[in-house]
Amino acid sequence: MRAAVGEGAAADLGPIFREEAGRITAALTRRFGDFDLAEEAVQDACVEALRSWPGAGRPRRPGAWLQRVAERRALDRLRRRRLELARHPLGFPRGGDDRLRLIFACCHPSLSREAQLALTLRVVAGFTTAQIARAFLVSETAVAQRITRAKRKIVAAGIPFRVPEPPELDQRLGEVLAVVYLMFNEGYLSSGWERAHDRSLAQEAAWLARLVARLMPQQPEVLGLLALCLFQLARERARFSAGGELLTLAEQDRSLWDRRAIEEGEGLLDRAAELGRPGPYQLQAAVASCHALAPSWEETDWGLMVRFYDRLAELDPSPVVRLNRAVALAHVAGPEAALRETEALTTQLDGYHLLHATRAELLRRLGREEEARVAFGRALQLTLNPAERSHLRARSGTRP
Amino acid sequence: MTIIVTEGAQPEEALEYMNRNWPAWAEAMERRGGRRLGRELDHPPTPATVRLRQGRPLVTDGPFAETKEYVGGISVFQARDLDDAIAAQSGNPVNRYCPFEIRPFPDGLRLGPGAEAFAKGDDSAGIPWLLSAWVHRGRHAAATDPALRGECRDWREDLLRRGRLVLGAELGGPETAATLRWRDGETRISPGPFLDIDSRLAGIDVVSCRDREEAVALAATHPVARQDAVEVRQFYTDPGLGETLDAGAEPDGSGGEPAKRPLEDA
Repeated sequence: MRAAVGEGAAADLGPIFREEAGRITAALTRRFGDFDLAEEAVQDACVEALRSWPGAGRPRRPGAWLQRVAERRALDRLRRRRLELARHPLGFPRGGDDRLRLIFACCHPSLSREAQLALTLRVVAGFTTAQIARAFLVSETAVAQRITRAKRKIVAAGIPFRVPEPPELDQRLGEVLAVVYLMFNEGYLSSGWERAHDRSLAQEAAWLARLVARLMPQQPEVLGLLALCLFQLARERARFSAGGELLTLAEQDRSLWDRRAIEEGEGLLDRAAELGRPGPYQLQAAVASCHALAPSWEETDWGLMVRFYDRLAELDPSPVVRLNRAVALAHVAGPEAALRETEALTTQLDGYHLLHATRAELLRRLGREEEARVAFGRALQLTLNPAERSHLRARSGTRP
Repeated sequence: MTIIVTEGAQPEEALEYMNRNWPAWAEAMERRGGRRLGRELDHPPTPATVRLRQGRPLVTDGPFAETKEYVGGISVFQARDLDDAIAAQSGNPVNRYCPFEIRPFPDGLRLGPGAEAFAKGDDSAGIPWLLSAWVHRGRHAAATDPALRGECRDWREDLLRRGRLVLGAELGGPETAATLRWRDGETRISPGPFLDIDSRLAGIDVVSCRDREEAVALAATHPVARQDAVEVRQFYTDPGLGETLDAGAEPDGSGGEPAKRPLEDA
């Protein structure tokens, strides 16, 4: 796992470890019924690989090599602990992909969201405790405790390692997707002040989405979430100016967008649409695709986007969705109509900086400069993200 | 695993819904198999809380936790794992209106000879009382302390020998709990116990006693009463006795009004 990779030397082994570690951990967890044992054994195998591969050459099938070594190490550890070999205290069922079971167990709704996130990152994606602590700006001790408690709960409360079946599947899959999406957002645009964005966490979340999409290709919402991640990551190189300022979609240099990622996202959305079960992630991805396909800000198909938002609001009548719809509506029906829409949201979203930023933009377009300045000020008070703050300052015409 | 049902006063349509949908669910549970025991508690609750202070029982009228909602009943059943338990209980019509908390019995369940009669609502051999052991959060170590747990087990064995124990067990800690609530047309699962208070429910025992006085005296001998508190509550006793509470039995088909909300299965 990455802990063993070190920061530089064997960085090219990182992708292999990342791809294989989760799978092998899951397989060993199933076999031995012990999270910690499986993780330690996989860690051992990665260390072993780092030691022997540079001299002896990388094996032809690195995954099989790692698994063999990890299994041997797990057995060694078991012997040392004088446990019976290959006991199955959790009674894991057989067949299917172990990682999927592991993800569903880590995202079980009887675990708190924080525990779900930490456990998924640790056990499925192979993050170290330190990396998780950095990603969520909490202490390493807190993360370690959270993970230990969550693992204990899985055993004590009898959370099964099983992919749920209908009718539970939809709700449980919703938990998994929520965890992945939260992880993605946290990485893509963090709400904390220390880092404007954490690419690795967002990439990691997209990797997880891809994993679930590969394992559950018939679930359209999974495809939708992966498409959504890809559309957003495609803009990664264009989101900041040379000086580190956050750029809006209107300001971004679209030639920097990753066309391959956009094409893949489009393909995923098509496949999802064929399955005929629209959902919030697919619709959010459809909105993102309107941006991705527009040659310029002005040529964006705002009418289509408003229709996607209408459908989204039916499934998820949250004020944030209505706010986003208002932004698109401004291009179709003018700033005044959009401003009216935002008026209805001021009580619910008073603490949300983007409500005030949106209102400020609309007020400015209507020539109501004084009100616009007040709204910009309010938005500034409400976000700590340095890139967003400097962006807001620039828009409002005030100096830091 | 156990379910702890919590509830306030139920509106008419809730009772109507529960009564109407009860037989179908009971039948589904019957098909599912496995042992099930459970019962509804007194309503409104008339608890006493017992603490042992300087070797003497200190009895206060009223619940251990002053909350708007309270434990409305218990159900004990076998399940493979948490998902199996959730699947079994999420169709329960009572859960449409009352949250359920699910917790495991990590050390198993002790059953007395009167357990079946208790679940059927047959109280001819003695009135059942629920003793709930509440341990303060500051003494969580005590709740998981093997010595105290061992004492509780010995205490329970003694009750069994004296013919007083209906059923009893130590509960899994609050971290093992999951709560089921009906929201937006489906059963939602959330982490943790239903009551978010400074104490944890460490164990439950159903004991058979002549009257409240005897039940309170028994509660004072509970090892947890020494440092913490034991709440004593009565179970609901159906005047019609046993018929509607026995979900395994066929309804008698007389078309008579259901005696009351049937909370539990036998």
